[in-house]
Amino acid sequence: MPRAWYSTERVQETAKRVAAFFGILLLLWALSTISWFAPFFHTLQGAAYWASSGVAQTFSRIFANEESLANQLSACTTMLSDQAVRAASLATAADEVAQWRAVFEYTDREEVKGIAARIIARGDLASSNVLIDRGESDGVQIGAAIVIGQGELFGTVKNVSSTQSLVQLSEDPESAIPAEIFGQKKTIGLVEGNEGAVLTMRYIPQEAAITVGDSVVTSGLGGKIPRGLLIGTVTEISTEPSAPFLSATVTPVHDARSWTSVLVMPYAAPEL
Amino acid sequence: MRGAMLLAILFVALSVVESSMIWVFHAPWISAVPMMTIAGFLIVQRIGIVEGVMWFIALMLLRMDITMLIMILIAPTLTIRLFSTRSVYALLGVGITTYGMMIFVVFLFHSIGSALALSMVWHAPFSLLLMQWVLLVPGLYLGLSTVRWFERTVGSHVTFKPLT
Repeated sequence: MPRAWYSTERVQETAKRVAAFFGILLLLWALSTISWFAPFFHTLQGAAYWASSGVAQTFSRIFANEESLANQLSACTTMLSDQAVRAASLATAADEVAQWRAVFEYTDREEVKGIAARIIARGDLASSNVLIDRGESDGVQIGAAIVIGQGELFGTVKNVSSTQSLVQLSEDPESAIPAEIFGQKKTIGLVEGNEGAVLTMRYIPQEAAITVGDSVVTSGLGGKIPRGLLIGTVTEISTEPSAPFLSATVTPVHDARSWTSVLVMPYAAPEL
Repeated sequence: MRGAMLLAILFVALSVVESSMIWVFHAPWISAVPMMTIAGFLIVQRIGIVEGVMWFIALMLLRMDITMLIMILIAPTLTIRLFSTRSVYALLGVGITTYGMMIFVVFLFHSIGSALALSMVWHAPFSLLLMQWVLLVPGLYLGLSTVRWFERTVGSHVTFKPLT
C-alpha cells in the first residue's frame, strides 16, 4: 500500500525545517519583547549602529558636496526648530496638566462642582482682568469666584457674555473681598487690590492678634464667594495708634499671571 | 533541522546588520544595497528552494511588504526551470529577472493606482527600487564570492544542508 504524500520522509523533513526556522524566529521575537532580554537586543543593535556610523560618516564626508552639506544643514535646522516647538508644546501641556491636577484635587477634597475654564486672553502686565472661555450658557454668573490650584482665590467674574466671561483679578484696585485671618484669634477685614501684585487687608480691628505669616482666606460674607478660599499670607502689618483700624499687606501664594486653567465656583446667592 | 535553526539566527543577524549598518549610509548609495534580498537569492541557489522561500516569507512578514510574494513565486521557479546550475550567471539570472519582475509589478500597480499621474512612479520608493536593482548585481557577485569562500573554509564543517 503506497504511503500518503504527507507521511513521506522528505515532506516530514521539510516540515521540521520550516517549523525550526519559524520557531526560532518566533522565539527570538518573543525574547526581544521581554524586558529581561530586550536590553541585549538593543545593545546588539546599538553596537552594530555604532560600528557603522563612523564608517558612514567618513564615507559621507568623502562624497559630500556643497549642495548635500547645505541640504543636511537645512534638514538639521528644520529638525532643531521642530524639536524646539515640540519641547515648548510639551512643557505647556505639562504645566496645564499640573494646574488641572491641582484644581481637581481641590474639587475632590472639598466636594465642590465647579466649571473648568481656560484663560483665553489677558491684557498687559498692568492689566488685572482676564477673559475665560466660559460664559452664561455654561452657567457662569457675575460675582462668581474663580479658583486656581488647591483652592486659591484668583478673582471674581466681573462681566459675562453667552460664551465668555471677564474676570477681575484679586489684585485689581477696584476689587474688595471680605476676608478673615486665621491667627491666634479669627479676625475679619476687607482685602483690596493695589497697583502691584500684593494686596492690602483693611479694617482690621486694632486689638486683633495677627502676625506675619498668618493665612488670609475668604470669609464668605455676602455669600458671593465661598468661605475658606486662600487669598495669601500676611507679610507686613501697618499700625498707626491714632487710626481706628490696622492694615496688613497680603502676598498671594502663587503668581496669578502664570495660570491658564481655572475653576469657576458655583455662585452662591446671598441669603436674605 | 539544525541548518534551519542556523538559518533563522542568520536571518536575525543579517536583518540587524542591514537596519543598523547598511541603512546608516548616505542614501541612495550603500544604503540601497538590498542585503536581505541578495541573501535570499543566494539561499535559493546554494542551500535550497524551501529555505529560500522561508527566507522570503520571513522577509515579507518583517517588512510587511506584499511585493515579496513575487520573490516567493518567481525565484524558486526560475531556479528550478531556467537557472538550475550553481554558476554565477545562474545566480545573476535569477536575481536580475526576479527583481526586475518585482519592479515591473510595482510599476504596474502604481500605474493602475495613479491612472494618469504616471510621474508618481518616479518618486523616492520607486527610484530606490531601481537603485537597488542596479546594486543587486555587484551585491550578488560579492555575496557569491563570500559564500564560496565560506563553503571552502568554515562551511566544509558547518553546513546548513548537505549540498548534494
